[in-house]
Amino acid sequence: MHRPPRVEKYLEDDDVFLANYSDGLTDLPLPDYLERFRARDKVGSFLCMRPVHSFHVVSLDQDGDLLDIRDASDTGLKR
Amino acid sequence: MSPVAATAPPASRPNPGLLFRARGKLQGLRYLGALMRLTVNWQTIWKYRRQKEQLPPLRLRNGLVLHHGPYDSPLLLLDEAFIKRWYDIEARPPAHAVMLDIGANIGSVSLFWSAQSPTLRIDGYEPNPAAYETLRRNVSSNRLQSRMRTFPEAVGREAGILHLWVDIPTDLSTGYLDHSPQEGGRRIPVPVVSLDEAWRRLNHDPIWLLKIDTEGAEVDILEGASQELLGAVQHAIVETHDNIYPGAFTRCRTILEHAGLTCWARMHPWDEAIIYATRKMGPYARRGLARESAGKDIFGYIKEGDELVEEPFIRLIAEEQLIAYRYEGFWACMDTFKDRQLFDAMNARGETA
Repeated sequence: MHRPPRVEKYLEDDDVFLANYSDGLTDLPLPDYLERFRARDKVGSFLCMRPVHSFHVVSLDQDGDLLDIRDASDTGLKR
Repeated sequence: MSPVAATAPPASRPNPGLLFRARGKLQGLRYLGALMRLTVNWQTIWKYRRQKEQLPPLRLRNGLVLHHGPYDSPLLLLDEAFIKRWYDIEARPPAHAVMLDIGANIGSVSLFWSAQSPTLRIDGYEPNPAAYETLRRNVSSNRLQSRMRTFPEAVGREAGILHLWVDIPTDLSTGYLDHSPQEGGRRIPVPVVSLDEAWRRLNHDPIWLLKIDTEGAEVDILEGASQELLGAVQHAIVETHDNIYPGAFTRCRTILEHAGLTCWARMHPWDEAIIYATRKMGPYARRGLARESAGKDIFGYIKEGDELVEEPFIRLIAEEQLIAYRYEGFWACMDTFKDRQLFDAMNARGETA
């Protein structure tokens, strides 16, 4: 991961910058995001989401026999 | 030099043992107050000091412990490093900054700075064997092994041998006097390296703080240093000893200013001084300026080859510098054809407006 340091020289004296590190699409309200970051006097902030992919979580015994299968949303991983 | 200063006999450095008697009871009480604020075991320290017994290790309230030996002056060191803060500067080290402590003695100044940043890396040089043993003990007792290295060497103009006075208070140990600084001293040969060699051992990383307290060696150390090295120094704290090496103050200050550092000095009445040198632009300046304007800089936490969410995030979390914005709105990966189909379906249902 060398990308953020490579852009450092272009930031000059900007006190805050945003970096998109995913191929994601979001309707995140940026002014609110920046305001909350500025209010906290921290070095970094990132966007944190519950995953929305659909998958299942399985429980196995040592031989690989299936004991249980649950939707990921029941495990706390997904809404 | 003013006529008064020229005719007055040079004041000598206060004898650590006489520290309190010489300064009077009021100062003694002030010191006791500082000791209470700073140390956990101040009662034992104060009692032993009054009984003129060997003091226990000084246990600081911030968790640090300062071990010391029979030739050390722990209360004087505590006073200079933690109470008067003579080796402190306004700036604070960015993450993973480098400090060179030349004349580390038992490590009081290195300990002070280690507490200012959990990622500061320190190389300490101390040629007096007694002080060096205690320095090593202080490094391990304070769990600094992973970020502080120690070298039992003197630093000078070039590699060689220095005949160092020992068996005297370790903070007076010098190789630059023909007579012992205090009765009972003897001379031993110790190895000398150049400042450039010390820098080479740091892989020529920029030096955030260069601290030199070497009882007369400071002129040789700085005059022997390459321009390249001096250009890599962001801040320097240099104690000069004109009482041992006449002209040391002017010569050290000249070198530092020629190297582009801005200097100011604290002049002691006993013909010693501390030069504080700093540069606005320099190896750490981008970070330094960003810290001044925004207070923080994330690039100080990212090293070559890091994965952003691994090492840098771990460093940020360790310093409580990372926050998460919990978002319950829309966010989806747009990597694959399936993602595209999902989005198109939402769009067709009018969910993207």
